[in-house]
Amino acid sequence: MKAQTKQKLKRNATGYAFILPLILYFVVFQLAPMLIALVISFTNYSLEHLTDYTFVGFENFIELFTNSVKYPMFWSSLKTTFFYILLTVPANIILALVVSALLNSKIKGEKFFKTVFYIPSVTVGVAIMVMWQQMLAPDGLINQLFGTNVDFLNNESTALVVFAFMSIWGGLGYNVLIMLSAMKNIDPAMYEAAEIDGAGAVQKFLYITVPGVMPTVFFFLVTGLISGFQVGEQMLIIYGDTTMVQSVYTYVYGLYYTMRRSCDYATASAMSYFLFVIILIITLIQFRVQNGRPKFIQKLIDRRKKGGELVEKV
Amino acid sequence: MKKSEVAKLHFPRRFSAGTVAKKTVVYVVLIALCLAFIVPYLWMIVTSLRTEMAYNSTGFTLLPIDEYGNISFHFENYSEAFSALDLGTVFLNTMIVCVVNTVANLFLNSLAAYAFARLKFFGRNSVFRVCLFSMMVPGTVMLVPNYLICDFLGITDSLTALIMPFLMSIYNIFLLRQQFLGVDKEIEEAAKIEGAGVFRIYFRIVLPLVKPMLIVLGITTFMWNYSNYLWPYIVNTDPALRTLSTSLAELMGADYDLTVKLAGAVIVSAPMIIIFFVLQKFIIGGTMAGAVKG
Repeated sequence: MKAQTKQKLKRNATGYAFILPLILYFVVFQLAPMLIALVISFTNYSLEHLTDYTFVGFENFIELFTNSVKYPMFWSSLKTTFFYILLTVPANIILALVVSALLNSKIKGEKFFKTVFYIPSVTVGVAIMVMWQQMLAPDGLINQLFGTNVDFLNNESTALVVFAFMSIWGGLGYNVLIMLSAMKNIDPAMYEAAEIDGAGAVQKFLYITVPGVMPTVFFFLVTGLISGFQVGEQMLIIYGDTTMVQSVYTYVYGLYYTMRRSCDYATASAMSYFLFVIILIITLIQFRVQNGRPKFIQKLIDRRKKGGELVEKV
Repeated sequence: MKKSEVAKLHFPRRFSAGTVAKKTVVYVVLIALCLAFIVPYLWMIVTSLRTEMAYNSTGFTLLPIDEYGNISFHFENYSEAFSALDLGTVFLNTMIVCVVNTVANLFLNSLAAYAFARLKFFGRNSVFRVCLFSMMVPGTVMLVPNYLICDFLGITDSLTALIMPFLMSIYNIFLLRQQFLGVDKEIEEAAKIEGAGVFRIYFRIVLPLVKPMLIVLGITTFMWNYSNYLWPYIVNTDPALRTLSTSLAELMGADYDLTVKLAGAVIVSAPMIIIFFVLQKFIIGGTMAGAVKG
């Protein structure tokens, strides 16, 4: 009995020795920061109040939501973020579907195309921004090609669209990689059955491919929403921490501004938590939908099996 | 049997004119799309080899021609970008951060992942679940909290600030745990009978078995640290502590010729693109592993 407890104790000690670095890391760089930020979001801790800060309750949050003089961009920045998501998420999904379907149509050089599309994913983000900044300049490549003279990045009506375009361009390789592997998992018997029924390429795409990759489309939708709400780094790289172009002032860009320009750490913490709540809600909705997923998938599988049996009968 | 079906039997699909036309359309679309990726990079490289005057005096071109239409290469853009980036210091900073973080990540993450996959101890699943929950906090949300803790610890404006918050990755622990769960238990049990200790079994026997995953995670960790811009920008203001990304962003906003800026972008991005072409298999594999959770 005693030997057993001793062994148990030793086992526990070994286990905790293995995860000791993780526990230390987790406490110092995950748990403590979140708790400190939570506490600070209820104070007036900022560059002016580094030592003499006091608790102010929910004032930071109330000010953010209601004081349009102090935070004139708050609600409009959320709107800008929504616009950006509307511009990028559907386009990303549709492009990934179409390009993957093209690559999946038994063509030569699939690997070559995949590699080329993937290059932006391995290019340093700032370098991509330098490249696009110069290409989008009034005397840059894009204007040369179209014979125009538009300052895309400093024009209120084009700037956000251009950022959405750059993000779609940069993400295509990754999206195609994921989407294509999902498409390859679709049972070929489905296509054969459809061909026998005389379905064309478009019909096969709409009635077999798209339903077959629905889980991946859902994955893109969720990750697109989550990353869309965090957009702002690209704007920061292009304009620095302050810009005259109001149409690109996203929520997170405002967060950087509050953090680095105003050094208002309390408000920045409050903004971080508000963002966290938004993303948490999206994640929870995702869990809800995914828990209801097996039934939906089972149905698809059953339907596919039926299709397979039909093929065998024919 | 219908007429068209009889035709299909005698003439396999790939020879029919309709299929050839369809294939041609597919290729044209894909190649056009490819150009949208290749032309910008080509343009960047070519323009980085020209002078600003030559650039302004010609329209769209993908040839490094000067203002008189002759081919000429101007490598002085690169030496100017070299010094504007302060490349010696900046490269060293970046390498220190990348190497330390990659090595620490591989060792510490696999240590924890092995414990979660194989060792039995009190509270193992609860600890793992708490860690998984923290994966829901996205990086952007952690930015301000992490700045506050680094400020509190007094490590802002140092390379330590670029290393400590990224010494481990819960997400990579999750991926490694999956790998360890797939390792055949019998190998470990055989080693146990031979009298090998737990650490020895982990380090000498199980770790080599998941080498492909370690390589994948090593590359992605290295690349992430190499490209990371936001965190160094937020936490360090001292120019001597800049990394390749923050230094390039500084050059981008400064008053230099576009040719020099593009040369800087080529210098900073070339190593990663070369690594990509050499280790493509692993990088693509890493992307796929990361997407599995969806």
